[in-house]
Amino acid sequence: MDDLLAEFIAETRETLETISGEIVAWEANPKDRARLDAVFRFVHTVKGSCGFLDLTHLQRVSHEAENALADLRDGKREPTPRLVSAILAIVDRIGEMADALELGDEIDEELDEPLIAALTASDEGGEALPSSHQIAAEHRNPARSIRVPLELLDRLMSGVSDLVLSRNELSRQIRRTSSDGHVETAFDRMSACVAEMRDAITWARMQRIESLFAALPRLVRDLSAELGKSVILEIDGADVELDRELIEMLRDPLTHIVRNALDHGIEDAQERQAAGKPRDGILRISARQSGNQIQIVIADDGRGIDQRKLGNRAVDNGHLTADAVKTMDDKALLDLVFQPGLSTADAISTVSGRGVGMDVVRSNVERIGGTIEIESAVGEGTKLSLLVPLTLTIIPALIFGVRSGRYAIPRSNIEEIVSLSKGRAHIEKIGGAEIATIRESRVPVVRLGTMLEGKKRAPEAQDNLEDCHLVIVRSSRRERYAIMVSAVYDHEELVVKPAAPGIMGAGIYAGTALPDNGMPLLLLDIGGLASAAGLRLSLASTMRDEEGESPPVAAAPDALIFTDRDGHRRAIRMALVERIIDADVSEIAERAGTLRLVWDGETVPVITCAPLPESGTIRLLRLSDGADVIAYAIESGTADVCPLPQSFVPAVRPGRVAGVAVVDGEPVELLDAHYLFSEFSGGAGRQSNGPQSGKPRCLVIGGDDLWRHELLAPLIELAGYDVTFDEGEMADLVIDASDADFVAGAGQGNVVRLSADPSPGKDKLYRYDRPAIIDALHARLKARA
Amino acid sequence: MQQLYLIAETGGARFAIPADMIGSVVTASDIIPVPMAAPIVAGLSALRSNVITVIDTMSAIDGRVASVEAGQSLVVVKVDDFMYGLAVDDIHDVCECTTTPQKFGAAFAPGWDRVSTGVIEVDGHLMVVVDPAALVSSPQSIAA
Repeated sequence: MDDLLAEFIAETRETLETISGEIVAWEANPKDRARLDAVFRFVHTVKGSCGFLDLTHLQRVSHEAENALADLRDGKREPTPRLVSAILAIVDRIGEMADALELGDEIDEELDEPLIAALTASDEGGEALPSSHQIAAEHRNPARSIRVPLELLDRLMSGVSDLVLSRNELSRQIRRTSSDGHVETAFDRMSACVAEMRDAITWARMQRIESLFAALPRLVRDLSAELGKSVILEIDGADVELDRELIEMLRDPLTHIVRNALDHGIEDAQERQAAGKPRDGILRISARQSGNQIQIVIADDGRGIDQRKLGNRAVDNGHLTADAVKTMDDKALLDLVFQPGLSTADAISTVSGRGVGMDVVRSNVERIGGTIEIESAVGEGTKLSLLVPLTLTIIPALIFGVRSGRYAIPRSNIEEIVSLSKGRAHIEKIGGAEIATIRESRVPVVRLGTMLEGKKRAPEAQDNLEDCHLVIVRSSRRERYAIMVSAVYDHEELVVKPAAPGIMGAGIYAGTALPDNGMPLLLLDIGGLASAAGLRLSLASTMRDEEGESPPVAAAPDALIFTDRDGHRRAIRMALVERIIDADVSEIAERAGTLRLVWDGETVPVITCAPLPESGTIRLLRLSDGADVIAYAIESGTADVCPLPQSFVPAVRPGRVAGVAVVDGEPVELLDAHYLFSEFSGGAGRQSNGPQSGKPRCLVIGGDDLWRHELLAPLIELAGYDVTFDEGEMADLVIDASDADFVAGAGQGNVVRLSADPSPGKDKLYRYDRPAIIDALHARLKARA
Repeated sequence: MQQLYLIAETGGARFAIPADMIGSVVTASDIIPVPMAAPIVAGLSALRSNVITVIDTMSAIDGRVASVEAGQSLVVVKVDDFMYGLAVDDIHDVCECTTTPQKFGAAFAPGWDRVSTGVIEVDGHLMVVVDPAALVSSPQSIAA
């Protein structure tokens, strides 16, 4: 609502500025029809917006002016100078009221009565217009918004990407040639500026999801009319923001889902009443942000999807064998809606149901790095949940080598990386296909090198030499396979752009990117690669592959198991691991009480359980709880992803380790991420982000000047208070450090009295009793609130 | 109507590209191959912060397998928001032509016919005018 209001104010002011010329010209020649129309349009727009924003008073004022203008247009009244002035006075008044709205000032409605009266008064008579001026708002332009063409934003974004690339190049050059500390300091500062700018631009490109939802009411209305159904649309979370490019990419899938819901999901009125449901169907669409992802849920209360019917359809179409369908659980059956060519619709309508649909929706969602899940209960409805990244422009990806080429895979697709050299997996050739067995589970293998450079197929032996890592990927819950690659290089955040049609036509690429080394890189499309490699699921074969596997533990969250610096095997919940980075030890130093890594313009607290080496690089897990980031130092050996053990023995006392579990016969300690974040993620960072003005102010009076400035003030600031020494300022709390009851009156509820005496008297605290002082401040602040 | 054309040469043939469609001309280097892409795609190259798709102009005309050597010139054009680098052997000149390109019907081989919009006269010589948009769309996709 506030945003809408701000937009209204900005728009009103903008139009006022542009039509001010028209107004003057109209005043000079009231018979000028074009000018009159311009003024009329303005007043009319204001009236319309006011009705929408529930600004009844302003609406009434503009309505009166509109009436007068309409009369003028129709020739019912003559544009006498008096009437013209009255209308202009109202136009001015609209501007004033917009200002008042922006500043949150009261609008003096009394002032407008004479203005309105002047409009309707007889056209004759010459008394002066009543003066209407409310006390003029002094500052006319506080926070204002401007409209910027999208192209400009895109240009800015690409400009910043350029900047990032040339910064990276510069950083390489500096590292190579110079050991001059000054140059590096200056460079670091520039680096931070660039990073900040990139953030700002990314933010500027954010758009409210409202613009995506705006078309839906009309769509639902038209469709339900066409289908003869009655549907109520409920939209929630329209103020969630995401990258505007993403909004465009979501438009088609969302439209498709809504069509499906209305056509197949929601029944017509008779059927609903027969089923004992309210006559009107309900379609709920909601968006919310969770971490750096956006969840969009589309739920209807229709007839739901019959899993068995879906299964039978798949058998009829030859997608699956009847046996395979029997062994599938409801969830797996339901996932069949995402298979191409499957639809449970018995009749094909003009709206949907031609079997081209959910598979396209899913591949569109996956193309932007998102996931889609479906839940449905027969007779109760269907719910689709889309999880998409906040921004399309930057995708964390893994870069790996295949023979001489380099490619990238979105990190969200990667489950695990297994090195073949250590015998952690073995590969069998069955019927010309290759199947890898990794810890009891079998996955089909795609030899990317052979596939991409098939013509120059290298001899088998060489293959084995070159292809030594398996990247286990999954495009969705079902399409899980391994890609054989020759080298794993790096994790990098890539700015991904769509590739030209000639390249996208290959069906295995998701886009192109320019990584830090400045060489173009192709991002692989995991779903497309699977179908190109002939794994087109072939869902049945995956099912067979997974036979004999322990019961699926898909629901259990994943954990990353690694070797800690003290040699113990430890695990952490995978969802917390943002990325793995190798940092130079020289970039880590003790700052502000804890080890900190300076990385990409920010400082990250570093946790290690053994002293860091003197030099070289160290591997760090970058952990994020959504707001704060910490880094955890580990040994650079292998790190495996596996399902989080379902049970573990809790630790004896709270600390870094939450408990211990047995994985593959070895004890593994699970890190207590909550403890780590509470101990290490600095409150300092949060404070600097937080609004300064929101802090309670604490006045310190009396006492030794040096002591209160250098010792007391920092302590209080750390506790989250603003400190002032100026008695003239308003303060929420007062600390009297004078030892002599500087502040009179013992009963003052907001005064904390300190004393230099270690055993202070009644109502006083020893000035080095840190917890007691903070507690006292908090308690008094609470009491005041 | 006056129109500027860039005269380029590839595979021994000269042709003209309307200059208003051209962003820049650069020298090819570090071309990353794109396996399984359309046959006319020679690879990807970086131009400042943009990735450009390198097209072997000759391959687009006569259907040979695309190959672009470092050192060839790339005529950078923008088609449908994608940047392409058209690889040519040589860049000759920029010239001005006042006449609109004329179509001479089936006088060309099919490859040339597909990519050309007509013929202009430059210094007494006839020159085929090539449409970059037609050049970068692979022959198969037209047929489909």
